[in-house]
Amino acid sequence: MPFSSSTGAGQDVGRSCILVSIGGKNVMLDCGMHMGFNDDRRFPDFSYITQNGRLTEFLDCVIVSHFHLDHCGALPYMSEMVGYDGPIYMTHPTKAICPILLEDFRKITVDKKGETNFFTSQMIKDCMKKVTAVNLHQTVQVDDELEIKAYYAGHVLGAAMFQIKVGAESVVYTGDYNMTPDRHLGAAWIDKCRPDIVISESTYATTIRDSKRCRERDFLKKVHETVERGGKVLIPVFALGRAQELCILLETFWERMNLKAPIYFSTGLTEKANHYYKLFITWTNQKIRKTFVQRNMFEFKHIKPFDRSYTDNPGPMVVFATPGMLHAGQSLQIFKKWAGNDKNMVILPGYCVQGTVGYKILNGQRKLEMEGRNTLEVKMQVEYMSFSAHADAKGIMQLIRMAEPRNVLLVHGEAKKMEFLKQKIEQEFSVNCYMPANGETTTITTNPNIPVDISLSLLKRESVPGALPDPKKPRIMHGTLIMKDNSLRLVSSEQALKELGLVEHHLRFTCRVHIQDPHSEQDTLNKIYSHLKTVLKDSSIQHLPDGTLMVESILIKVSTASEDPSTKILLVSWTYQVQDLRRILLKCIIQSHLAEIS
Amino acid sequence: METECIMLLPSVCAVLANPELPIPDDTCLEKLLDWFKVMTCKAPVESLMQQNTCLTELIATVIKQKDPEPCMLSFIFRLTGLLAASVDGFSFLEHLRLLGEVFGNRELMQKRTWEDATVRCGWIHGLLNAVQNLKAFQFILKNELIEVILPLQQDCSLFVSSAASQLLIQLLTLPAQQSMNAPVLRGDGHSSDMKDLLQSTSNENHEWTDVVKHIGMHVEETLLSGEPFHIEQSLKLMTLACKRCEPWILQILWEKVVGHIESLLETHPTTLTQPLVELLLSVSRTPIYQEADSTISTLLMHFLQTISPAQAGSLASGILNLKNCPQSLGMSAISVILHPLEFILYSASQQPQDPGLLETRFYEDMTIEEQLCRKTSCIALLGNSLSHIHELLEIITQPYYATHFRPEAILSSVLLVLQMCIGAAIPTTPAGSQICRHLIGSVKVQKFAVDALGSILHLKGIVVSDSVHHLLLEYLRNPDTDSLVLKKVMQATLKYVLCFSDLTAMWPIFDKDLFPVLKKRLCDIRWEVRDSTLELLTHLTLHLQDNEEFPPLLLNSGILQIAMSLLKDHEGYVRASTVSFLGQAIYIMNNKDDKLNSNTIQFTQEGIVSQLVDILSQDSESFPRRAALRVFTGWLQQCSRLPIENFEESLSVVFKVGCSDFDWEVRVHSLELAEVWIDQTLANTLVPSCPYAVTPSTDLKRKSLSELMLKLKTLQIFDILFVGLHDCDRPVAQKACAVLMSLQKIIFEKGDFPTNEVSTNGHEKAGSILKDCFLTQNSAAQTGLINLTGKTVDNIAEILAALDLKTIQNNLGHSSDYIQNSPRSLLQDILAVAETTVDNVIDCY
Repeated sequence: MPFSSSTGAGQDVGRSCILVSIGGKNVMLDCGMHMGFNDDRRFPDFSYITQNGRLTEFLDCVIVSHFHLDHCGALPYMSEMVGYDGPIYMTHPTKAICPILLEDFRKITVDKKGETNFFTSQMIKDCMKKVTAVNLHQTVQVDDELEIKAYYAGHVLGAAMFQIKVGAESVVYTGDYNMTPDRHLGAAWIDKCRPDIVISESTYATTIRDSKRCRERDFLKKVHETVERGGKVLIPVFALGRAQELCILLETFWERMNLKAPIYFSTGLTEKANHYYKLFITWTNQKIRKTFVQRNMFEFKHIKPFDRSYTDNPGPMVVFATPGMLHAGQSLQIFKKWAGNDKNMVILPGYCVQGTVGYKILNGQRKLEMEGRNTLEVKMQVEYMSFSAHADAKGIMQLIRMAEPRNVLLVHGEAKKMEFLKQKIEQEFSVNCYMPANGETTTITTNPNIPVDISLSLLKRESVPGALPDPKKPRIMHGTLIMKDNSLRLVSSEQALKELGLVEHHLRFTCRVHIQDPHSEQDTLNKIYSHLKTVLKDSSIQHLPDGTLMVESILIKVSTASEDPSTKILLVSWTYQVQDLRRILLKCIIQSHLAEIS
Repeated sequence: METECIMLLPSVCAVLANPELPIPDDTCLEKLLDWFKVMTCKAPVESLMQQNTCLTELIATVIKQKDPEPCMLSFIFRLTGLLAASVDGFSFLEHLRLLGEVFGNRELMQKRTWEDATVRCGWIHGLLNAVQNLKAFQFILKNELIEVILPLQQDCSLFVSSAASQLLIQLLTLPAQQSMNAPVLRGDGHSSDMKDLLQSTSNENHEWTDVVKHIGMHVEETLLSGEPFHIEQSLKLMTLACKRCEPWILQILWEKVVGHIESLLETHPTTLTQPLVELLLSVSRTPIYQEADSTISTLLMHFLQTISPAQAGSLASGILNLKNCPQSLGMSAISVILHPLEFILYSASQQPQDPGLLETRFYEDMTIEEQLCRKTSCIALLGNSLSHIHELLEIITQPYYATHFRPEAILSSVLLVLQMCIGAAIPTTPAGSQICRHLIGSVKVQKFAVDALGSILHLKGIVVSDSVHHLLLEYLRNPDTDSLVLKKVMQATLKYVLCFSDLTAMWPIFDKDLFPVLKKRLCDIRWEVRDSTLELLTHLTLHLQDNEEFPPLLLNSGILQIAMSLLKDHEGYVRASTVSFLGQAIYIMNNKDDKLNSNTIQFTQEGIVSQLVDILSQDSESFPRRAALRVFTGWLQQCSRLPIENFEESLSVVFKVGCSDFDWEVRVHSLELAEVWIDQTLANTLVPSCPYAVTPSTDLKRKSLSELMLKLKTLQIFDILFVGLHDCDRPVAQKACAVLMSLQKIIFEKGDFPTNEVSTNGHEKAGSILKDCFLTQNSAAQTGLINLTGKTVDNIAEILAALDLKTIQNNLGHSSDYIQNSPRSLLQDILAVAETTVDNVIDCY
């Protein structure tokens, strides 16, 4: 079973794209993009998968774990520009939210760089039409042999882990996941599916981070302080996802503290975003689901749509604006206006790629060159707060404990730091742990269990009365294995004969035993008969009319050797069912004879 | 190199060389290499290194470090390679003895760092960058680096093995590229001539041919290794060689491996089928195919026979695309693709003597039957056949093949497959019944079959029977049809309709069958289906608008009523498609001499305008808003019979709402609409000058222009253009600038408008007037609001005349991130990372 971390997800952020070959099926896990590049390098290089460009022929399906662009950003490129026309699976919320983020990203790309060789809105729509949405815990049959099943992953709304199964072999791909519940999402969960391998993200596997609650408190404190001193807070975000999480945070805080400063959301997507969060309320955490009837967390009282004219309004305010890396559009425009005032603050709640204003200010640059050689002096406070919800080392161990895989493969992390976790996993669970770099193929040899159905009558016959089956104590069952219509069944021989319309063939084994006995053949036979009668008391022993002795189903015939009349030849014939009896019988005959001779 | 960059570079190199400082992310290093690549192309590399000694110092420092970071070491390899690409650069680095230390350092290859794929990849890429000149070639030979490269060609990292293959190919092709007395292949190119040539000539040639032989031996050994991964890499290397190497080199390599390839064709694991197919097809596209066509043709034929029918599709398709493909091979390839369909036809044929698809069969019927009778292989085989129909059609319409194959017969078989998929076929053989059971509900086969049907319907002169539309309708009606299959069926339906030049026979079908089923589909629970239906209706409306019969049929079908309700669909995509469809449909109904819908006000252009304005101002998603604007633009562009004045009132609202939208594309569409409006109004108001007119034409023109200016002012078009010019999104500003420039041209260059004479300080004046206008709204410029209320037309003309639009256009022409993506910005970012103390944790986006 080879796993190829084909073009991404190995050990960096961006372009998650893993190819799994399992039981002759090829499955692509995620199809992400790298926002750090503006050229072909931003998308996975599919020529590593197949050189003839016919991805539809090669891949059996594509599975997208969640809506972040490093997991789904290259999907329209793959399906509409490279030409993949096969099935694509993702959860319902991911299917709903994915096009919004893709459209947001497309607009920024086309706006900022004036790129024309890029996927269009129509392509995003056509791509989404190819997507089959799946429910949690629903087993989806991709074809006769390949099935997939989604499990809750936390992380973001609709994020899922997927189990991929072909026959007895299976893989679990976690995507990004979080093992602790947060403000609006629950913790990841999977059943004890004992896959051959778990492919787990390990973004924060070795980073020691303060708790998310702490970061949230810190965030609220900073926003509150800025607003209190009359400053403005800019929070650059991507249209959907983290923005909503922060909105809930601020909304509840504003409510609790009875704050009056306005909060605006500038993307024009507030309504849409809330619509999705309401629609997929079952994907949120227990608390939100419980209180939903009394008060929907996503119906914000304090957060209002932004209008461009508000930028220059006096007094404090908080504005969520896109894009999240401050590299174009509304967020950059607001930043330019507010940057010069040290009372203001910008909080970057996500990753920023090199070249963006976000990256520069996070790395301490305070004099930025803008268009027309103008210099923008940044006096406002700059804060970075990562709110993303990834599993830490403890969470990863917890997931492994839950799923009980036979192997673990770590992706999305730094090789050096992952080494420690690898050792820990190997020690604690006695499983192999792999951490391939981008482009590396890992092959796992599987020893598949082949499930066999057993007939009830045979099971009853073979089982010990009163004893319940115990998976830890395997037992041997005897029967006939029938391979028919792609299934295996163990039945009794009689049933097999009946079902298959076969006639039973009786196979007998024979052997010759030479003994020294000068008596007649009849006397020898009588002697054996008497001896066996005394030794094998429970067995049926009889003389047959043709001069043969029958012990159960074993036949014994005596003849005289032609060359030596004192040598008698015993012809013994038996079936394999009485193998043991035959052995005892012969032993008795030989011993009695030897005793007599001596 | 920019002076500022020259000044920053030493500090950057110092940062990179310091192992204590944090390393910028990989993208920074990649971009830095991109920049160096540009620099090495622009200036002599030697002088570049002499002027920037920090570069070689950086290389020397990092390479000597005990335990450098893998990504930094990889960067150093690639940088060194880039600098060594030119002869002068190579000599300079050699003189500094850096090349040996960087690439010839065997100790490094024993270290743990080498286990990191990034390092090996960097080393290979570095050499690949360097091997652009013969000195580098000699360097590799002298240091026996081939011995290192060859195992890397089998590396477990695809990136490393792929790069190593490229490097080996570069070594095979470089001397020829450098015009080094390469042996010239004689016309017939026999190998004996090749041997003569190899034995002759210079030392360089001997070295080169040694390399060729060495690589050939390596490929030979790996093909014999029995290790599928290694074999695959060597097959890929050979495929690459076919694409890039000189024929004579290829000949040597091919002769070495052909025997092993032959054995592999017999006994290869399924994972190697595809690489083998690609190699055989690649070699068939090289000159050696002509030289030894019989061998390669035999191999191709043999391989066709060896691999399972379900895997043979891509090989067959590749064979058909070969130039000078022997006809017998071509016929076999066609047979491979069509045989499963032939079998399907046969399995449902009422009369066994019916002509099939094939005159001769490549496989035994038993083989195909066996495959089709098992579900998994049945779906794979038919999917494969059907997916190659599109390419096949191009071939069989060529003169030679046209006499042997009829597209109509292929059409029948495809229709039969589609019937089987929905249980509508009546098979006459037990095998047929079994195939039907396998196919019922198979979305995969349905998708391929509908695509194939679409390709067939696209053929010129194809004779289509009624069964096509019956089947299409069947699929459209079937509640179980998958949404993607339905989309494809709808596309095929459009192609079917367009097959007819005379649609007389089609109108009853539209009326009784097609429109009723489309009405149902408009109410489908799946948004994908509703949207695809609307897309089909829009296309039909566009293509059939000139047919007298179509508009009344559409109007009376009840589709428009349902479409009106879809304007409130919960899915934005559907609302947008509805807007586009209704815009087009209502346009064609209003554009008739006898207005069709005079009694149904809601289906007039006037009737729907208010709905479109509502969508524009209230819809939460941008797609419907964009679609609404495109409808207005389309109406104006298509010369509606409706006078333009009728729209003016609504348009002023549309401009205002559209230009204050959050979505910059809506704003661009609004400006496009304004542009079209200006063009149309100009066309209506500017009367052609008449030589016999009493009033001079200039006066008339001026009068018309004044009217235009007034209209533009009344409709607040100037407002949105001036605001647009300062928009935060570049495309909006560009569009506004373009419209203003064309207005400038019309008004001042052609129109002889009095304010044409701009004073010298005009530009400043324009700026101050504009600023003044912005400020009257109690906000600074760029808030999206402007007030030109107090201004006269002449004032506005003055502003327009004074605006330096060319400069603005030039500034906007640069991508807005040209500063951030400049080398200077990159260098500053690297320095900033080194200075920062805060570790910004990795995150997703």
